[in-house]
Amino acid sequence: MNDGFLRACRGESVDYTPVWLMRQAGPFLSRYKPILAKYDFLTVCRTPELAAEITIQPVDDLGVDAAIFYSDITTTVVPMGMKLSYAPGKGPVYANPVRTSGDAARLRVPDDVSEGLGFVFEAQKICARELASKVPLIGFAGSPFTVAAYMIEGAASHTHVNVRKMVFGDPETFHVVMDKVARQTTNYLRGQAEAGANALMLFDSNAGMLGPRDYLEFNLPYVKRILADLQDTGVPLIYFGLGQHETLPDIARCGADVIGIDYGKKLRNAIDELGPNVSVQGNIEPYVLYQSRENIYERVAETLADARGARGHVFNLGHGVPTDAPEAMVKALVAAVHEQSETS
Amino acid sequence: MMNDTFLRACRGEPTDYTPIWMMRQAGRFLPEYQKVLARHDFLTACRTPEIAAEITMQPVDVLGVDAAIFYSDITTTVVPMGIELHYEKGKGPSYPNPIRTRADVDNLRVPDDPADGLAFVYEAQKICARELESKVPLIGFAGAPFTVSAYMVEGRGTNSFVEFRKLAFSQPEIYSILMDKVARHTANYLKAQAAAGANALMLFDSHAGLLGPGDYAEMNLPYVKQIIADIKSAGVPVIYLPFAQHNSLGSIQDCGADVIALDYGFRLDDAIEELGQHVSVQGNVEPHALFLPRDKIEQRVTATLKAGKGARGHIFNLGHGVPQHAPVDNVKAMIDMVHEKTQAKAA
Repeated sequence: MNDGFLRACRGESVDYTPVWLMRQAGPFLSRYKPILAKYDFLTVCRTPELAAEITIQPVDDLGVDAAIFYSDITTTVVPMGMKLSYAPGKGPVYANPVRTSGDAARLRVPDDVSEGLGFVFEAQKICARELASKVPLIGFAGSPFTVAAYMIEGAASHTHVNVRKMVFGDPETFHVVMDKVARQTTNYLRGQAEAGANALMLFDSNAGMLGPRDYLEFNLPYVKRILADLQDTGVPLIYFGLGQHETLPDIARCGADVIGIDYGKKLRNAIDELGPNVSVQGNIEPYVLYQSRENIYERVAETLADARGARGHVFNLGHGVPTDAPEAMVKALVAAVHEQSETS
Repeated sequence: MMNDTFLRACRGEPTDYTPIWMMRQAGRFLPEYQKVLARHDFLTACRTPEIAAEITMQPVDVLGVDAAIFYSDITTTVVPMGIELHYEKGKGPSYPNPIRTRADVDNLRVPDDPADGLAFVYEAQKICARELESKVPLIGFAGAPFTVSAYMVEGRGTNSFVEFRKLAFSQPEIYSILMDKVARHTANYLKAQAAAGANALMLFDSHAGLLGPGDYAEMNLPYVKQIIADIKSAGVPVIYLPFAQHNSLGSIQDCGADVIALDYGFRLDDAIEELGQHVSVQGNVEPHALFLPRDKIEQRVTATLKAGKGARGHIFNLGHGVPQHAPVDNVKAMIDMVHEKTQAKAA
């Protein structure tokens, strides 16, 4: 296996800077579209062969140094009692949003995590087998704050009014939800490591919803608890707190081996604030993929130069690949990272 | 005589107490506001000078804030440029013909006379200025060109601004023509507000966080600077809110504004240190702290005042708008706390 990605996660020396892209298994890929034209999104997620096929596509088509499992963060909590549906164009929706202390009390944390999520571990076993001589597989989950936010709103939201009202108006109920989601998430991630995931990532897409003070009280402690629980899996842990820019010295101590940085932060500053004990992942602006090859090449050079002070650097976009990014440019970016870091 | 505490804090002059106003203080959490909006739809309220003036002044009397902010919406400013605006209840404003092509931007006009299509704004502000003369200053405002252009390209509010970001990165000529036109129109609009009686002017850059620091410095901030340089001659304090642009204060401090407004994502003391002593700050308590019990609200007010002490001048505000369902009593309590705590120390 090409272990450049895992070595960079651990801060070990590498022959070149490894690269993968958030949402690399996405609609911009020509081979992804025919599958999603035939099956709806949740069917794909829940059919091990299909999820595995989509997970592996970008490894072959783009030449990335890691595969990330194809799934959605909203599925993890279905076994807790959340009723999930998916309407094209609207994204995932929970029919029973969590709003009251009664709702929170009814959420269950199954002892056996494969209850309701067996399809994930089945798919990952296929991936692990197929990728054994290729690249590592990253398993993932939404962080408890981000998933709880979705459970409370019931759908994607601009304003997250209901989440904010619960955090500040009914913190007891919020902590009950967070505690249960965190336990389920830990079990889920552990199950993924056992099924064959070589690294685990927590996506905190809504980390920027709270200011620094409240993030440290209501969000980060649960991240720390999950990561502490997962240390014994022995696989590198990655945490990505999107939009949370003022708390990197605290985030550096959350227990992750790698901190994902979004494009809103200058990578060099982030590395300074994080210190020498963690690697970084990121953080090129995703929309440079719509620019010329020369521009992309230049941006890649800037990002690589910016990352020079890091213990380890996993190249990535600072957010997901846009849905209609030109596939040729995505390939060009991946190639540019390899080429420029090898020769330097 | 007007209570000029807010204006003094903007300029970094000594004040008897810390002035406070709140973003969206003329908003749905106020029962007096709801009564007016039950009778008129949003765009009618914006476009009828007497109604807009009434809503603008409500929070001064009801809440005891130290400044009024004009009641309007950032999407209305560019209608005279030739873009159609719709407003649907529950869905917010939208432009049914979004700007996407070279022809679209070429067709946008920058009217010579800023009253062309926007006279209702200045009429309303003249009423406000008259009625507020012995009370508090009036803040006029506009959306920053980046934020308004984002709306014009998308046609509506979105989470991801895909079309706008694609245009900004792949069509830099179209992007810069759009930004330049919107910036020139915005400067004219703000100058006319000062002429109509606004005592301070604020630029809301609600989408400033859409770009990373390098691209923000290149693609957004220059247009903000251009506007502020242009409106300096109005002689009123200028406030700039770069919402969620958390890693650019070093360059924002030079944008020409007298006051930098900070969202709740910042640590106020760190932000003040980065900004230095030639600008005042406005902000930045977490808006949803208004749902906390009183003693917890008080802790947050105390912490924010303490952090604000390091600034050249501090205007207390929330780090975002007043939430729609915020309890009015808590809003009032927060305002009283700010006044009481800072007055006691001055005495």
